Amino acid sequence: MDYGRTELTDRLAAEYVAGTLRGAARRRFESLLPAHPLLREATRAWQDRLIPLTMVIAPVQPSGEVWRRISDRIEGERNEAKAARSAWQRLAFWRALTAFASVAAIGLAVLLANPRAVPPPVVVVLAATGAAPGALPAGSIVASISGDGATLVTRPLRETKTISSGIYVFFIHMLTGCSLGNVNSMPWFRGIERRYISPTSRSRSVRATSISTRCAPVAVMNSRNSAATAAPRPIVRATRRMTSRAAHE
Amino acid sequence: MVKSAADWTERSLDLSRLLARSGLGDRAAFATLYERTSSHLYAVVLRINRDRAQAEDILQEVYVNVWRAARSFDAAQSQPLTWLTSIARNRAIDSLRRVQTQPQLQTPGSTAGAADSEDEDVYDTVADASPGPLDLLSRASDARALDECMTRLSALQRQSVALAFFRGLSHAEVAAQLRQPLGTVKSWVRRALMTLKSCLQGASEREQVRDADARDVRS
Repeated sequence: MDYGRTELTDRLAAEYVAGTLRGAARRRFESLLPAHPLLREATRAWQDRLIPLTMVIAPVQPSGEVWRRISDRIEGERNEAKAARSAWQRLAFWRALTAFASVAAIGLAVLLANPRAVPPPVVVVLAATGAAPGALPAGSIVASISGDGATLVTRPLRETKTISSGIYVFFIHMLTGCSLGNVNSMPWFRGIERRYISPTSRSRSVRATSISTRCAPVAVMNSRNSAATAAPRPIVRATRRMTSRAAHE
Repeated sequence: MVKSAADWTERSLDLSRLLARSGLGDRAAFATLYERTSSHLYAVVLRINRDRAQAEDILQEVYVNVWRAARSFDAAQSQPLTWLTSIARNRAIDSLRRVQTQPQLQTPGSTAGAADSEDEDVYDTVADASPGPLDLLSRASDARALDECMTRLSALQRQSVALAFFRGLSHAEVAAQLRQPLGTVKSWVRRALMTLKSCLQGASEREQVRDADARDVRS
């Protein structure tokens, strides 16, 4: 039925208020009221028209029992609401305590079982931008994070000439509160995010080691060929996720 | 007893305040609201559902719901007495539906029995000799200056709308009571309602014109 049509809306509202709309039609009308402003408006207008006609009905006093029952129910509901509120407060306390206990238990469990939890080793191939698609470019390196998560190792994928003449700049981002211990056995300066790594370094690889096992260094290094763009992010656990960039200088 | 539309409005102003305070959880205000409106609502319900025990149950439900919904009452949108009476009427009409769907005990004088035997005096359970619906309609038209409009309707048309509105009879029940075809009764009720609408609109326009004239005379 199209309740949007004004004439029909008006007729239905009239029958609803007059009381002749019955059964399923009445229930449907009532269920539609909240969502149909037009229907509500028409109903209100008809109530204003018809309901005052009831003023001619002689009042009849209900028994005092009715008010006592109403009063009891209202009081009962109030007490229930109060009880529910205090129960909720008690519940909230226990919930807070439980939450705290859970966190504490997890913390303890981690501490007991896992001072050296072994995170999955992460290996990321970092490709130089501008390389031909499908081919591993000369500047590509492999970055991997050691099993204890404390050390990042990068190695050139291929021994090439270009790598020996390039200067690499590492942008190593650490989580707040984490800092690198050393890179290639050299102390990493606190607060400094980048460091020139000489390609002539003996190992040809870069080892960045974090001070703490809770902090993993995440470096994304790119080749000298171009600036790093959209470098892949190492897949590490959420707590160890850090963004790093490398750019050529 | 409320005598005129002006009384209705006046009472409503007072009730708006009580309803607003009830909405804030003021039980004393709610008790006063009950005191001032329950006899009207009870009478309205009793016209529709003539079983006193059931009518009292309905009244109880109505006021518990009013207490819960008082906060949502919008005095700018409707008059409190209209709002309250509408809630009571709807509850009463719904109770008729339930009575019909419940297994019926054929005890003389009960609502279920009365519905089956139209010849029985349906006012048996009402203690006083209250006026019939048609009488009520004619009183209402006096009070609201509707008598002129009502003369446009035939006696049966007036009776059908009065039975439906005051006693909460369905089209079919009105048809049975008046021994008229259902379709005819439907169109009577519809026409009566539409006449009422245009009459009331005309009346309020005339009132406005009168008010405007009165202002012109004064100035």
